[in-house]
Amino acid sequence: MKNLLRWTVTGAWALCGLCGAVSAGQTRAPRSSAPETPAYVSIKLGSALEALPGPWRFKTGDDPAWAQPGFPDADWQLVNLTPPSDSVDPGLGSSGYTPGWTAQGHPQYAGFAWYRLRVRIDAGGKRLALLMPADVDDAYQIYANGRLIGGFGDFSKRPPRTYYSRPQIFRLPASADSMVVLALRFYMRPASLLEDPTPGGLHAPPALGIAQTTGAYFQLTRDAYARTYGFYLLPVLFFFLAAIAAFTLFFLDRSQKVFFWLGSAALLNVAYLVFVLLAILTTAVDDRLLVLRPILLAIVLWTWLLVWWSWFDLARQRWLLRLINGFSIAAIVLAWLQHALLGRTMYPYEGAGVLGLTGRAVHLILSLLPLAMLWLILRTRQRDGWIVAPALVLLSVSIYPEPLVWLHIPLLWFIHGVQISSRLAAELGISMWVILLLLLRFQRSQRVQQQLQMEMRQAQQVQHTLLPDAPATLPGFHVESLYRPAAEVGGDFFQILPSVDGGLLVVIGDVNGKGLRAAMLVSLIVGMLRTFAERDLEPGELLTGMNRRLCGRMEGGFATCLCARICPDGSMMIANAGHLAPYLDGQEMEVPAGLPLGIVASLEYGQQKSFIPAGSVLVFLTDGIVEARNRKGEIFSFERTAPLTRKSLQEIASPAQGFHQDDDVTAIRIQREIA
Amino acid sequence: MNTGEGMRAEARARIDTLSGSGGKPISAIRFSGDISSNSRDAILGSYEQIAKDHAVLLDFVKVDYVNSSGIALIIQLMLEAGKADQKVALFGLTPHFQKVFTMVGIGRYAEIAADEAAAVAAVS
Repeated sequence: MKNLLRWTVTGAWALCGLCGAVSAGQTRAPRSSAPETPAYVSIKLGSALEALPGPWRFKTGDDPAWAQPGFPDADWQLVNLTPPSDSVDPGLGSSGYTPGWTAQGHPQYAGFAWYRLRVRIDAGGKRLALLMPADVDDAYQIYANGRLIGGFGDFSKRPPRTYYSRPQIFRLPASADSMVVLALRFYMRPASLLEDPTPGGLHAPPALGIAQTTGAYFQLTRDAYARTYGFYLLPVLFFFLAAIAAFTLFFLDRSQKVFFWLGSAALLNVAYLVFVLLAILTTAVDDRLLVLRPILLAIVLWTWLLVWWSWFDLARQRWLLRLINGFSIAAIVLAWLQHALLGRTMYPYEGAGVLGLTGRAVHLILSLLPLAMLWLILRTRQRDGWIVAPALVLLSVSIYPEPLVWLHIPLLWFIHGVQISSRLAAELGISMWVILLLLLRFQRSQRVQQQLQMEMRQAQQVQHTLLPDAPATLPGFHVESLYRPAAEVGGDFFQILPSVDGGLLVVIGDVNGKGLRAAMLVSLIVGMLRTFAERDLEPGELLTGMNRRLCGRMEGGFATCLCARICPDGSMMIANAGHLAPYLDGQEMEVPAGLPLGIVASLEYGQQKSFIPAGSVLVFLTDGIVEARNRKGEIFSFERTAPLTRKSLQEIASPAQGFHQDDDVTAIRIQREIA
Repeated sequence: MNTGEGMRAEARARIDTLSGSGGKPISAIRFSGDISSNSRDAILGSYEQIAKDHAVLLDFVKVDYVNSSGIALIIQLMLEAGKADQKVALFGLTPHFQKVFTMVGIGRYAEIAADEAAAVAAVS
């Protein structure tokens, strides 16, 4: 099973084979005539760790008798595990790779196979250990002189359970001195036929050495493991932070769905990386669960491609979306087929070659999609395109690294002794660039937000100049008003204007909707109102004229409006365009019904005569009070409102606002003074 | 006037075909949820699907709330129906919204009936 660290370990194998050099002893030189200064230090170098390239005897099949030291294996195939000088790891592009048994006369073979080797050892009676390479396909058991000394994978199950391969060390029995017959029983799952061009058994020679030295070397390889895979925690952290940032931005602005998809992609990526780390570092994930890896990877890639497609506004490139969806689904189906057809099979499936080739073709096309996307982004001269370019190139390479392998471009880099694979680089690159893009987008949206807030404040200032906020002092009347918009600007409006006869013209209304649009319409309506008021029109005429002018300017909306002219003697003419009736001394008045303004241009609004006795209180409201709705969906109601209208404006508005203010609240209280 | 849609259940509509007295075809648009600015499809979209020689019933039995933008859409439907010379009746409104609908003058264009039978009778 492929392992990213195998280059480190197999490379080191070559090193130990070449040098074979670990200090085996150090002796002090004889003292010279000057006893205080030794003339020289004498050391003795020994081959404490020796690679075992063979030639090994090899045979496919399975027989317990093959573990026995005396079994005649002379007719078995001879296999040399020395990496060929021109060998290239098909996954990583590195040298020091020994092709598996499928390249040594057993193409398309999966299942059991045995390696045997006789070794004569002179270890001076020291305990020995066998170091098995990191890169093997897939599980094995080790017999030394017929005795099982350990293994990797679970052979109690049939077929054996396999895991991500990793270096392992096995102590040989104390008696294993002089002549040792090593017999390695291997099992390769059929699905491995699809993962490498040349899978099968060992991809580097095992090494035999003095237990203490071998153990120290094994510890070094484990440290290298920890360093390499520890770095995978960085993209996990970055993706997690990116997900939090993206979801936060989405919740702040639900219209930006791309943030939701970006957060989801980042979280999926976290899940994928955690899954891979669990598979590599533990035995919690065996080959049955490992089928999820290519499926999860295909889903992660699919999500990222969709995120970039959406982020860079490539919606017009429908062909690209179709390719992304089509080939991503194909990759998922192929990954599933690989499991369904090969995962449970002990022996090779004839279609493995076709399945493998199809999978490679799909991944090749998928790998080209980020590049196609980058080309489209740069063509439209989007600034973010250059920022994300390295991540998209790395993504492309990580999906299908084979072209670089063919070009002998290494897919592994070593930075201060830490191995960085193209996949890790892609994950790191994407996660960091995602955070950078989010920060840039956040910065831009903040600027836009500040601009909007400034415009909203300016609109608020304009609205305050249009709507009276100080109590009007008009002879014969005591007038109060209260205006509490639900947002910075509101859709309610009112005017209290003195009329030429010493009375009052009171107008109250409500534009449907809220925010800047409603506020703009309020400005329009108040401007009209003031113009009409100067003509000293009757309330019905005023509403008729305003309606005629507002029709066609309300963008499908309307404005309710109640207009009352109150004379100093208490007589009142009132006209209504769909607004709430006023309350006289706590009693709802009868007013004519009528369509709101701005709907039917030809309407003529009638008016009705009423009377306000001296000392009586007349209250006008908007629906922000009556239709306040609490979290249970309960409406404040006319019934609750009526008795409140006998009280002060604060006492009218506060209970409704406490109920849950979701709308603008406006109230006008007019008391006719007793002469 | 409120258009806050924060806690609102999105409006849905279902169209039933009924027969009035004398077999006159009636289409009933049965709403559910809250009627608001988001209900354009539910209201005007449903109305578009109705044959123009059918009378129209608007069923508000499963409607909890109608805000001002929803009222604007209902008025728009009634004006469209008026142009097509279709009779319209509403039923199932809560007393609160019966009062609001009356106040905004809907009563001049459509019958606000107490129940479905009364509404059917009004448009037959």
